Amino acid sequence: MPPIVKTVNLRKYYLAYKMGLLDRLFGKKPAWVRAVDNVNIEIEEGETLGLIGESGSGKTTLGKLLVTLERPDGGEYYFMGEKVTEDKIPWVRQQVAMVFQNPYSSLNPRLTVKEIISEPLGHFDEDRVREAMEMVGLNYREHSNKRPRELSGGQVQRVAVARAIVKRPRFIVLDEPTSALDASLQAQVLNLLMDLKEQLGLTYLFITHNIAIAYYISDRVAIMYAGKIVEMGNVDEVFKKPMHPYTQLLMKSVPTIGRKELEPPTGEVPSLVNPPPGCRFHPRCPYIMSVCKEKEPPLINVNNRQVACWLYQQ
Amino acid sequence: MTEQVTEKRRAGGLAAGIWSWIKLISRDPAGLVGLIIVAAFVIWSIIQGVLELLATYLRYPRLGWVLLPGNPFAQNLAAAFQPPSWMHLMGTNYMGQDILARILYSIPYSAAYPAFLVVLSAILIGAALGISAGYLGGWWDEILMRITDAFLSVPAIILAIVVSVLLKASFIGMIYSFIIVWWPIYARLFRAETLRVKAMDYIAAAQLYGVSPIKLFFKYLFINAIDPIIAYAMLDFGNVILAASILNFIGVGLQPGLPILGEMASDGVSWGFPKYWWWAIFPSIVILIIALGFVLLGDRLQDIIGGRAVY
Amino acid sequence: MALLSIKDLFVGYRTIMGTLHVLDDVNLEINKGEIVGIVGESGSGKSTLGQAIARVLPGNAIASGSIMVDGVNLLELSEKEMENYRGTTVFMILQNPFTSLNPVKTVGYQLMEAARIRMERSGEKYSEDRAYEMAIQALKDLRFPDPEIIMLRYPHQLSGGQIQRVVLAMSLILRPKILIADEPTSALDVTIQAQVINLFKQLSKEMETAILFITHDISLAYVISTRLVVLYAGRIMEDGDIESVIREPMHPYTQGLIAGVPDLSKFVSGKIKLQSIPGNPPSFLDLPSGCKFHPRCPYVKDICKVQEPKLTRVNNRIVRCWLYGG
Repeated sequence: MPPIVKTVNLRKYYLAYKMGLLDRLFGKKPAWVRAVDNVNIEIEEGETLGLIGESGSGKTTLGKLLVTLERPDGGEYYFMGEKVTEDKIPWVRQQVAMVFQNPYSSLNPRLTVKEIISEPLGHFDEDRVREAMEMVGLNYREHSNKRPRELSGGQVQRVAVARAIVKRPRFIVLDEPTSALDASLQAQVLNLLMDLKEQLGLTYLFITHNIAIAYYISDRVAIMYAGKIVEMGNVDEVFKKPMHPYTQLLMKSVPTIGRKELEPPTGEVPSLVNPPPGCRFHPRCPYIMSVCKEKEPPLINVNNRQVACWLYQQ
Repeated sequence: MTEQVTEKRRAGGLAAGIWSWIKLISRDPAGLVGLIIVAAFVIWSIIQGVLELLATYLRYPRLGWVLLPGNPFAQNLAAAFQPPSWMHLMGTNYMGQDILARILYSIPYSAAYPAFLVVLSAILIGAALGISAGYLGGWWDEILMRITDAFLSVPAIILAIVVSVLLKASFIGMIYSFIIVWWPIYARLFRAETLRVKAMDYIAAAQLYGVSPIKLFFKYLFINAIDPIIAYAMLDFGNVILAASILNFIGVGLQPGLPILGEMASDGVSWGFPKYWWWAIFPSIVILIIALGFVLLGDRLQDIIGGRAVY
Repeated sequence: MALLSIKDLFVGYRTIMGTLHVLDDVNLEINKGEIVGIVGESGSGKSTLGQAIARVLPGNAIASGSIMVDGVNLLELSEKEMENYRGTTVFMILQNPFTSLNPVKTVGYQLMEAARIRMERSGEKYSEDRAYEMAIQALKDLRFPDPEIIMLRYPHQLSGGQIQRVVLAMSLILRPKILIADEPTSALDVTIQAQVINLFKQLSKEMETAILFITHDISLAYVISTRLVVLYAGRIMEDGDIESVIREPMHPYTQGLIAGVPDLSKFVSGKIKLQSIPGNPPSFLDLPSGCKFHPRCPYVKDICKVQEPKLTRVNNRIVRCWLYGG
């Protein structure tokens, strides 16, 4: 049974700034933001992969690539075992959905709730919309004719989830779906997502920067840094025994009740335009060796873990 | 805090929505003045316009001046050059025609039709070009932007004059020439708003879920981009009225036989100034007040839509 | 003698819908050197509280009660009089780093401006060299590797984390008695946030400033505060020492918040289900009668629906709940 999602050396680069006519005439060199740089991941059907990274790690771009909202510049993407080429894109889009971070900007403010939820269907189907709304805990009669601005943040996000499940996709990418919500609503939405996954047999890619939420909802996690995956494995194991120095420092930077001290890494989040040579984390790494400055470590298997660090290989 | 207030305000339906807009606008004295002037202007134009239409259609000209203080065409040389009096509130011109009657008669087609037709066309053309440029980007965007740059480097009025004169324009011709030159700013505005809207997640969602291009254009791009354009258009009505009057003043786009605001002012200046000042002054003041009304209202709308409104 | 003493603070906003009552019955005392975490969700009024103390409420706000600092009621001061208090008595750090600094002046200019204010208020004569020194020292204390270069930079050339550190440097120079930080790290990455929080703690120890740290993140409040104040619907619901409040929350809202927060400490022995509080926070246009939390409270009694409890002291805790008298 092939994994539902698989990428091989996936790459996505953006131009760092717009090149106008004159720039091209004068031979100005383009600068590339290497948002996703040779990424290899696999997601099994029915699991939740937590994708953890800070801003500029490329996690949102990877999420968009997996739902074909962006096209890769290199590498291959396999969905349900099939290589995704241009002509396969409509087929992929039939079976995937995405939930975005900011609930209000992911819904068209001029449409009503029932119109929004019908978007993936192409036409209004009352039964399916009603069912989707009930599954997310929204009363059809009360809310279906409202506009997003008449709803609270939690309700708006539920509408976005209803829209995502209305045509029963196989795979959903959730990009920080609870980051914009209040503390008391986060648990509600997370629990809802987990229930839906059971009920509908879904597979999730859950993108977040919040380690605790990633732990709560994921089966496996992948840690992303400067466009690359640096560690991947079962969530319990990665968090209890982080192998990559970045993961270790990340765990020590998260505010946790019972631990007053934080021990973050030094330095700034790296630039994606001019990443440091060799291992991208080396300027901030406490265990730096000379090889780290020169060669990029590949992602290798160590027991049940994948890690990209020279500490674990020669 | 403000989100909650807006929520409550907008949940009430169309009539309630319009009333709350009126209340908001009126909070600012200048906005209120503008609203009153524009409302009076629009209501008058509609009534008088309908009457004139009926008059022409039923071949019963008197219908066209039933609300006026007299026949705008009636000549009475004995009463020429009369200063303002109870009989002629704004005086008479060189042919003894009542100036107030001529002004009121001419308002619909001197001011309302040009303003409405030109701005509406500019919005439609600007939307089509600007939204497609903003959304599709690439070569189409570059070409369009260079074209609008070219247009915008010359003041619209000059362009309008040139085109009008080239076409040896009648009144309608003048309106056409305006339409040709008036759209670039709207294209720019629509493009800018489209760029903002394009960055929103709901556009990405629409693409992902396969929303049809037509639906995308009208229900996702156009309708979400239009707010600032509406506020600008309000201001722009005033601009068109002024520009049209200026052209009429210098003798372009005239319709023989029909009184036209700008032309009346011009004639008043050439033949009646300063001795028979009322002939030049009253048409000019009316043009000014109408344009000012739109400016005040448009300004207030821009403040409200731009979030600068103080409750 | 408390450094900052807020009594019966009420803040409302005049709007097109009438007057919105936001903060009510706010009574709070803060001592020198304390770091008080003010925790609340959006719509709890926590930002309004910070703005009220710093006297930067918007034009349509009305406030009554007293905010006493050094025997002076800040609410009664005119704008002109308040100017003497801004910066050296009360200083505020905002959430969005990119709108905190003047975009057309260099970092150096703005830091030296702060130094000038400090010197004036201390009666020292202004000396440009001394101001420069103070600025460079502050940047060094905030771990900037090349302070001389940062002095020449403009805000748009800095990252969010760097800007927040510059603002912290400003507060090092100004040495305010009271520092209000309104979600200062919400816009920052986890690792950068941790760096900034460590600097915050260090500064507070050195400066003995009283810090009001406003946030929606309880875990973050835990790491930095000595005391926790929980705000809901514009009212203080609980106020006490951080360790005890977290370990034994008394108010049902606090209990619900803590039961629902995703925090790694909960998952030490595996995943447990997070509890959520049913319902939504109320809108200020439509506050419930009696206790503002009663529609969502698992322990609601008849009296809760009718009469609002008052803040009561129970041992070392202050609670607003009928369960503990009121």
